[in-house]
Amino acid sequence: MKINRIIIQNLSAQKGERLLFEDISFELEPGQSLLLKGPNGSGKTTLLHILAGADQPKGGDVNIYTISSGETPRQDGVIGISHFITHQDGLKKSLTVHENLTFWTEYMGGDKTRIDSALRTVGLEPMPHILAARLSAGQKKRLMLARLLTVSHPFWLLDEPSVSLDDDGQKLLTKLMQEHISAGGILIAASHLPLGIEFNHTLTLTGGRYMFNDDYLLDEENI
Amino acid sequence: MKPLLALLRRDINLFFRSGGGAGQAIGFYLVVIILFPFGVGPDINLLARISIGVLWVVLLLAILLSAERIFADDLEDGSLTLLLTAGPLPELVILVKLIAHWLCIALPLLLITPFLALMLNLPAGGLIPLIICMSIGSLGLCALATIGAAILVAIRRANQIIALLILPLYIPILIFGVSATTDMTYQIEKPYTSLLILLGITLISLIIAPFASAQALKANL
Repeated sequence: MKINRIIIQNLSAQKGERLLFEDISFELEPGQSLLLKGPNGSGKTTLLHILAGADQPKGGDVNIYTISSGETPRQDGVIGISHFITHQDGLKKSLTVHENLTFWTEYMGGDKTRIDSALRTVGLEPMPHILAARLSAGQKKRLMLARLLTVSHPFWLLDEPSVSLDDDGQKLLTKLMQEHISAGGILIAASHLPLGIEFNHTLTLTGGRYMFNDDYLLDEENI
Repeated sequence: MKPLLALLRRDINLFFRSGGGAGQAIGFYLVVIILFPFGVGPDINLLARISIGVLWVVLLLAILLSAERIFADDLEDGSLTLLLTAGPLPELVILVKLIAHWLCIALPLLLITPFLALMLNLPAGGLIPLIICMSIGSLGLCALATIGAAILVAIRRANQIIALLILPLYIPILIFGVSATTDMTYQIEKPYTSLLILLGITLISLIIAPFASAQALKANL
């Protein structure tokens, strides 16, 4: 599946009584990346959840245009074309490293023949039959990253992806993101730490307000 | 289809590895049915008369009390978000989880029912009707349990609240389940009327459950 464009229009979100952000609009094309910044509780994770289809916005639209969908937005939204990496690993403790990766690869429609090489790339090759419960936080993160390799989805949503990774792990993450972008993927990441790549755009959430670092707004009033 | 089969395999696999849940339902079923004859006393005729009702009620409770498991583990480690957004339609995902739950919880209960029926002196010829009706009814019970589990997914240790929430929905299945079993056991005239109603309730529950649960989960994630 190839994405043509992702257009976010007037997105707003609310947590309880508090308005997290409103009227966020931006547009991303293949090979582009967006960095989400902002203090804790400013709505970065909520925005990613909304983009991933796991949360409902208070208002606004997330429209994804693919080659097959043409000029009308894709019916299923991001379902089946996006990777969402969060602090929640989605790993089952009583399954082994290999079983966890195999399940998600099959479930997300990936390529099972890539599992071994993906484990090698993320450095978990020596332990495919260890239970996920035995992994350290960094190893779990690496196992999540392996999913990015076995399933080729064009739209990546990463929430603090570098947390708990060691230096090697962070370099690996940087490399994966670079390869994804140069292969025409779209990337949105939220992070406090430098991720080692140049983002095309930065969106700073400040709790109720937000600002872009570039002239990339669809809606001029919001600068 | 492949993702759904992978999910079914994973759920069954997880179920047997993490133990706990299956043991709880089977343990509950066993303990209650074994204790019952001791509590009621040695009146064989009385036991025979109440056996069908007792087996049904305990089956219903065993399924109810394991309802929370359907989504709780997946919510906790974040799998649920991915399951609902990264693959097939949420409704289908829920249907598969419902079937997995039936295979892991209800099926083992049905398998030990013949032995427990002996303890309660189930009337002769009652076993086959009982198993048929329970197989159908338990599927409906699992469907309703799924709705309850989805609505209360955000609450930890919600088993009893789930039970309370969907109790009214369970009652028709219990009534027609027991009456279908009784009718078929004693071979009254037109023995299948209740069975057909039971089947109808189960099918309706199976159709409604995935949609209702998907909406509930979306609101809860």
